[in-house]
Amino acid sequence: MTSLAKQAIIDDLLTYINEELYEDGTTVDVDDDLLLDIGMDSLSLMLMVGFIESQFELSIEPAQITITHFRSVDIISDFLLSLKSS
Amino acid sequence: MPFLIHQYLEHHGRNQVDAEAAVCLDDTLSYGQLDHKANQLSTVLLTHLVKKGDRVGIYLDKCIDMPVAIYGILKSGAAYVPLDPSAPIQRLSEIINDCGIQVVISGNSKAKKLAQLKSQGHQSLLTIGPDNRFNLDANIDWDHVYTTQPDLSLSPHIIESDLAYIIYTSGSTGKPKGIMHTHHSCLSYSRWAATEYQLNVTDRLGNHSPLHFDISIFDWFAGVVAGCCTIIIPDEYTKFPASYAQLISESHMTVLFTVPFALIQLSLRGAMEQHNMNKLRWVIFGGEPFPIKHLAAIMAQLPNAAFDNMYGPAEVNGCTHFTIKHLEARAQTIPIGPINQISNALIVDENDQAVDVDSIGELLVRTPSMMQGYWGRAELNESAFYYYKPFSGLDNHYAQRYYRTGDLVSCSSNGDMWFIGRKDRQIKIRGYRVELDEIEAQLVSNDLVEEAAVFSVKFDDEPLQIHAKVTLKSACENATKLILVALKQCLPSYAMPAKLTVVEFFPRTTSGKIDRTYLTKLAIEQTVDIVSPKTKP
Repeated sequence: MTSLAKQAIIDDLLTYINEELYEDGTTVDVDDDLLLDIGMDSLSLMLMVGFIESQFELSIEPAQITITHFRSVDIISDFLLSLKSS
Repeated sequence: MPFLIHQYLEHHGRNQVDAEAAVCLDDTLSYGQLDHKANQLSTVLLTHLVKKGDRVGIYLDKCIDMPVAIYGILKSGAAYVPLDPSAPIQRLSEIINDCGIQVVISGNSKAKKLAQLKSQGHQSLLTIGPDNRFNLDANIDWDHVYTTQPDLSLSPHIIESDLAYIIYTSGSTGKPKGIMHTHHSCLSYSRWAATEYQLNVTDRLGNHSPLHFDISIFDWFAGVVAGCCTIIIPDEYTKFPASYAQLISESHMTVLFTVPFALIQLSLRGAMEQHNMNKLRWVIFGGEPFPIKHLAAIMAQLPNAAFDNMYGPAEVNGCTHFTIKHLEARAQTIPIGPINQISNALIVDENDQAVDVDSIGELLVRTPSMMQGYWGRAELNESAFYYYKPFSGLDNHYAQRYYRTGDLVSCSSNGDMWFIGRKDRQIKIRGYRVELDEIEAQLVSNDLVEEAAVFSVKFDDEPLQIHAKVTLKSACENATKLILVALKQCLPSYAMPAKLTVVEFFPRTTSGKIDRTYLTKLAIEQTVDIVSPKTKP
């Protein structure tokens, strides 16, 4: 159940990032470091957080939007699962 | 008194050998260690044929090796040239070719891109930094540098008018331009700033700005003039306000010079109430106007800090500042302050005649912290300066040289100046200078594009955005994506349009030019429907 839910989150996030957020040919994979490998800027991060909140019907507190939770799509999906279960 | 930048490092390296000079997360360098490592790098550079006056690139993500790279290059007599770590290869290549860089200081995180650079026409580029496991041709790793015995007998004779660094910025013709600063111009600004903000050995300066952004001059040189510790804020922290706030608190930062955009993010999303930032005594900002609503909010969140608006193009460094004592309830904007003690200002009309008090004109600045000129750009160097001749018969060589900022200001009777706008189409995106004409030039150089119009759009309190519209030479499927992919190869990420649209024709003014004013108005009307909901988290 958890792994299925995680894969669904990963798929949604990758589709959003690769098809909506970046129209310029940038391709992001599940383990890519969004900050160092992709160089995601602060505006893109804000847009992604907005997408996550509406897509997964979650509210993320500013204090939770940290490097630790948003380093890669894989890490984000774990963080979202922990939010959903809490 | 020291007359070279690195002489301040050497002074502190002798007199406060164990005091912290730089910190990057868990890595620390004392003044003694930094001076020693800079001597090691300088020795390596000089034994590998770097000569006084050469240009050496620094291509590093923020890390503890950065101050070693800066000071090692300066000690070798070369000028350092920051290369934006997030810039596309094509842009890096242009800069490397433009000022003839043959050596680049770098690190492991850039090894892949360096290999690309070397395979695309820069085979002979000597790289210093990445581990040998990356198998880069012509490479020396940091281990080699840090086991080298410093040989000070190799040090060249350097004088204060020698070049210290070249910072590249957006150029309206589509080609980035290199702003050349000497030890003298850099130190004139750094000494002024260290005095003006009463920096001292107990201060801990936050280094927010990347090295290719001129605000970093304050962090690396005013800080070392005063013997402060510079806290390097890694790039990823600048993108996460809550992590940023935690770092400010845990590093006991006392001075932070940054851009309004970063402070707005801190205020809105930094969860600042969860962190003790009482040690912060100066919050200095510059690079772009600060919306009053957000400024008031962060001032209320940091009641112990003094807030200061510093102004100055990279060509002259900071030359005015205004410390905000209190914000008027109905204030719409804040002044950039009076011209500083080491500079002169003229405000002139289009005929270079001085304008009256409260009238708008272009700000011209004469200061010892002014650049030497633009690297290899004779035409630009002709037009960038105004020569004031107090006596008739003087030629330009003896006249007073003022830099034409292109900024329109007005000056109140008390000497405070107010920023009004630009004479040209230069804008600031998160503090970065962007020439809209450069983006247009890049778009038009694309084989698919017939004509292009690039303009900025501001919607309420949202950050400024760049929008682009193009007409095509002939119909093409996926044109938007193809054009964006090509554009990304030559522009830094902050200069990429937030929106690019293919149109069939452009609205025209009566003189036949593309009507960019109308396009901007139209975009703002459409932004209400398209962009706003998406950008609101």
